[in-house]
Amino acid sequence: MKAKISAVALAFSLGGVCHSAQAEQPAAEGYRQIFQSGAFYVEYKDNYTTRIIAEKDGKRMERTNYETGMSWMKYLNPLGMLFAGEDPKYPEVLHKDGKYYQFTEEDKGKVCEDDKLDAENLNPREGWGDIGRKLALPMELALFFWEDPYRAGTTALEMPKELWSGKKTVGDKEYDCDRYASRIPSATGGEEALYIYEMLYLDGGLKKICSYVKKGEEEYPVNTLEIKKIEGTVPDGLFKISKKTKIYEAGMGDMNDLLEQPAQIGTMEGI
Amino acid sequence: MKKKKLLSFLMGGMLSLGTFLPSANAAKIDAYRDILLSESYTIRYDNITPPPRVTNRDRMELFGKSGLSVERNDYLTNRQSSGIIVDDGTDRYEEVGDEDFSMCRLTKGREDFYFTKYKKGDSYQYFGTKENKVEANAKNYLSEVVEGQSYGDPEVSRLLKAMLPSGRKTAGQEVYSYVKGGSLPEGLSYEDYKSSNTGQTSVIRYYFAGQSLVKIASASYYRKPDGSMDGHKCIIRITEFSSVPDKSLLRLPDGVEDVTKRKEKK
Repeated sequence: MKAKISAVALAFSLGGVCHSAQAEQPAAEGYRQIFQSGAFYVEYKDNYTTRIIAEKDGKRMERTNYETGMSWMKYLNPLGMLFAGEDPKYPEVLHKDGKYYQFTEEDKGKVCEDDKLDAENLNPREGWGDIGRKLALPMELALFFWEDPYRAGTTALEMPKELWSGKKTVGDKEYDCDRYASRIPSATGGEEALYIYEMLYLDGGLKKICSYVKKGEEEYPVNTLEIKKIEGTVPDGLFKISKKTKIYEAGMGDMNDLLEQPAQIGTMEGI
Repeated sequence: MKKKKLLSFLMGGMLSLGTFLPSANAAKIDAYRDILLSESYTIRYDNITPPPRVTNRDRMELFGKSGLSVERNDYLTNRQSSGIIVDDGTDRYEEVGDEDFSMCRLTKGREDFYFTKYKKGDSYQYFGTKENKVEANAKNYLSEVVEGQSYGDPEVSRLLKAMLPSGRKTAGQEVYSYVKGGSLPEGLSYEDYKSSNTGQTSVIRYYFAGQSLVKIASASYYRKPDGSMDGHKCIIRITEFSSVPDKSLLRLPDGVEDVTKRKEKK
């Protein structure tokens, strides 16, 4: 038993990443091209939310719809909207022309310039610190677009490599599966753990991604994403802001901020 | 049980690789490092130095389910706090706050329960998703492996993680090495450690009364992009650091109901 464990430890410490004979799914290359083209639309669902992330003409937007127990009712449109509420149609977060915007209501938003995002007086309650995480692709998709400027930069995870391709049954469906792994290096230069991504394809399209932390012999599940869409075509109106949306400056710890009366610095006439 | 096996496997690996740092002559801290590595302990502390103010408001506000992001909690800003950390190798409990309000996380196996504990009259009430109701979240193993184990508030987490051997840390984490130790009046002694972090200078002094860890003091300073210096200090009083887990804290408090809807295993 001891020898077996040592062998496993050695394999991991050497970063034992091997490729199987079966090749990566052809769609994977297509997704890489979509993300690198500068125009994409991604919609996915995790355990708690449905998120949309899109990029077009140098702009990036994100919108999160929080699923609730009553969410199913909204599909009974229009009656269901009375009970479940309507999903917002405007971007929650937008980055364009060197400025970050957060829209809290359909006709209200706050703006912060790129170079002020790290300002020490920026009001931490306004959530500017989470802006980058919101606009970035989820880590499970970042392996298709590692050079994404919005990717949450961390030295803790190395670029994923393909480990294995084959079939995998999840629930009652058999998927084509590509398995990738990012090494999580240790402070001593070894390997602390692996972050495993299982990309599950059905009929040539990516349907699901399961991610795990693999430490020693154990695998610990982290995320399961259900991919609804990855397209190179961005739907019309996705970046649209209501006309006469009031734009307020980000709280910078000044008197306006303290009194919770942010200064309106203009209106946005739709995009 | 699996966790224990994993731990012994990792510790075995580290011993064989000789990665147990820091220096061998730093004897007193070794006992506490071993306690942390054994994953069986009860730690209680007072954070004498309030966490730095990260909001620009003095207003106090209670937030229900905000995890243990102590630094983001307005109530705990500019306020001395106390913490409890209990681990028995499988389950784990963390609490940070004061007599009136605390943020808590109970980990049962692979599930985390976040809730707050606050005084109402003469007794404590709890708030998870609703008053006295909590719902399990899947434990975030990725953040734990990347950032390391959390020990109460972020400051104490840093000071206790500094004790751990570098073989237990990922590349982004600070590694501390032994500088020197000595004696102080009134029977106290100390051991000093310094971070290898190139961006800032961080030093930690562990104080001992006899063999017992009683206090941790830390100072860090760094140069800002505009050339000016900034820094931070912190003093922690250790009131308990034992290898015996307080099992009474490793279950949901009396009167708190778990309302998680779990999928039945097929």
